[in-house]
Amino acid sequence: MTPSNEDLGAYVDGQLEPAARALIDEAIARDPAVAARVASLRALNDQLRGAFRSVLAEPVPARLSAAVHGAAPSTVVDLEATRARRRRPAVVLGSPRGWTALAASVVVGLMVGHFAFQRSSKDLLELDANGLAAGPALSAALSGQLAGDPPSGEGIAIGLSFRNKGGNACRTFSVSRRSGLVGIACRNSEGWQIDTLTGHAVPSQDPAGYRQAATSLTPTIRDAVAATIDGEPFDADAERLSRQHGWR
Amino acid sequence: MTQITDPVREGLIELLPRLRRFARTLTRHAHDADDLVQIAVERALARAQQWQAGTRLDGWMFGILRNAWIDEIRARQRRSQLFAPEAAGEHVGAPGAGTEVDVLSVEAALGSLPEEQRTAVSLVLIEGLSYKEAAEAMQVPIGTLTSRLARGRDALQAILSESAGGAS
Repeated sequence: MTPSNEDLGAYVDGQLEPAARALIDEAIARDPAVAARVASLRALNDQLRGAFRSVLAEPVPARLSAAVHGAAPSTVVDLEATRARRRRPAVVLGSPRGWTALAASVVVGLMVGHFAFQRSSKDLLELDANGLAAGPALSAALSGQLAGDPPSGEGIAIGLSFRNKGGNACRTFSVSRRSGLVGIACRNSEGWQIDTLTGHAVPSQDPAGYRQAATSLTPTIRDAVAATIDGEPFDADAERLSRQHGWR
Repeated sequence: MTQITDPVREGLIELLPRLRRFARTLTRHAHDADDLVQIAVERALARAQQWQAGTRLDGWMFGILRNAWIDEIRARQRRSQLFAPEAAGEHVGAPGAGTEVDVLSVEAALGSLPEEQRTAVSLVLIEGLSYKEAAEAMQVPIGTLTSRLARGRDALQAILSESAGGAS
C-alpha cells in the first residue's frame, strides 16, 4: 500500500498512533519514493518554521505588553486597580482638587451604578481617576471595529469617527444589548475616555433592535459631536488609516 | 466579583512573541499583525473567565486571534463592496486572492493560500499545535482540519518547487 498525503503529513507532524507510525516506517524503508515524499514534507516544515523564526526574536512592542496589563479587572468600580494601573494620584480627600474629583466620580458613579447591575456593563465601562473610561469590550470595539461592521458580540456598534478640537480621535458608539447606551469616546494616550454618555431605550423584544441602535445618533450625541468636531467626520479610508495608526 | 487571574496575564505575556508570529502569518503585514494581537489580547481579557485553568492558553488565544482576523477579512470584503464597487479587488481584496508573483518566498507562498488552509498550516506546522488543538482553535472537526492542512501543504510544495525551478 502507498500511504496517502494526509497519512504522511500526520506522520511528519507526529500525530499518528504507534501502530500507524510503524506502518509508515515500514513503507519508508521499503519504498524510496515514500522516503522522498517524507523528506520533502519535513523540508517544507523546516522552511516554514525558518521563515517566521525571526519574529520570535523581535522585541515585543510596548503597547502589546501594556495591553496585557492595561485592561481592568472586570469590575466597574474597582478604583484601586484602575488607579494602580494608571499610576495616577488617588482622589485625596481634603484637597480642593480631591473634592472636585470625588464629586465628579460620584456623578459618574451614579451613572455607572445605573448600569452596573447589568452583567455586560463591567466590560463596557470602568472608572478611573480621570472619570469614565471604556472597559475591555468597548475598548476592543472602539479600537478594532469600523463603522460598517455589524455589532460586536456585546452589541457594540460604531458610528462616526472624527478628530476633536484637542486633536484626539473620537468615535460615537452605541450598545444595544442589555444596557442601551449611546456615547462618544475619545482616544488619549491612556486609552479610550468616555466624553459623552447617554442612555436610550432599546426595545428588548426586537431582535433587529441593534440595527436601530447602530444608526442612531441621538440629538444629544449629534449636538456633542457638532460642538467638539474639528473639520469633517472621517470617511472610510481615513477611518481605516486611523485605525492602522492606533487612533493617534 | 471575578478577577482576571494572574496566570492568564502571565501566560499572555509569554505568548506574545508567538501570537505576533501567528498574526504575521495571517496578515503578512507587521503593523496589522500587531494590531490584531492587541485586539485579541483585549478580547481575551474581556472574557478571561472563559479560559479554564489547566487547559492550554495558546490554543485558546490562537482561536481568539483567528476569529478577530476573520472579522477583519469580512470587514475588508464589506468595505470593498460598499465603498469601491468599481475598483473591487484593486487594493482592498481579501488576502490570498491569488495575486501573481514571479518568485515566491515561503512567506508569500503561504500568503497565497486560501485563508483556511493558511491558518491550518500556520497553527500546526509553525506553531506546533496538535491536530486536535488546531481543530478546536479553528472550530472545525479534525477531519476538516487535516484535509485543509493536506491541501495547503500540497499547494505550498507545488508553488515552492515551481518557484525554485524558475528562479534558479
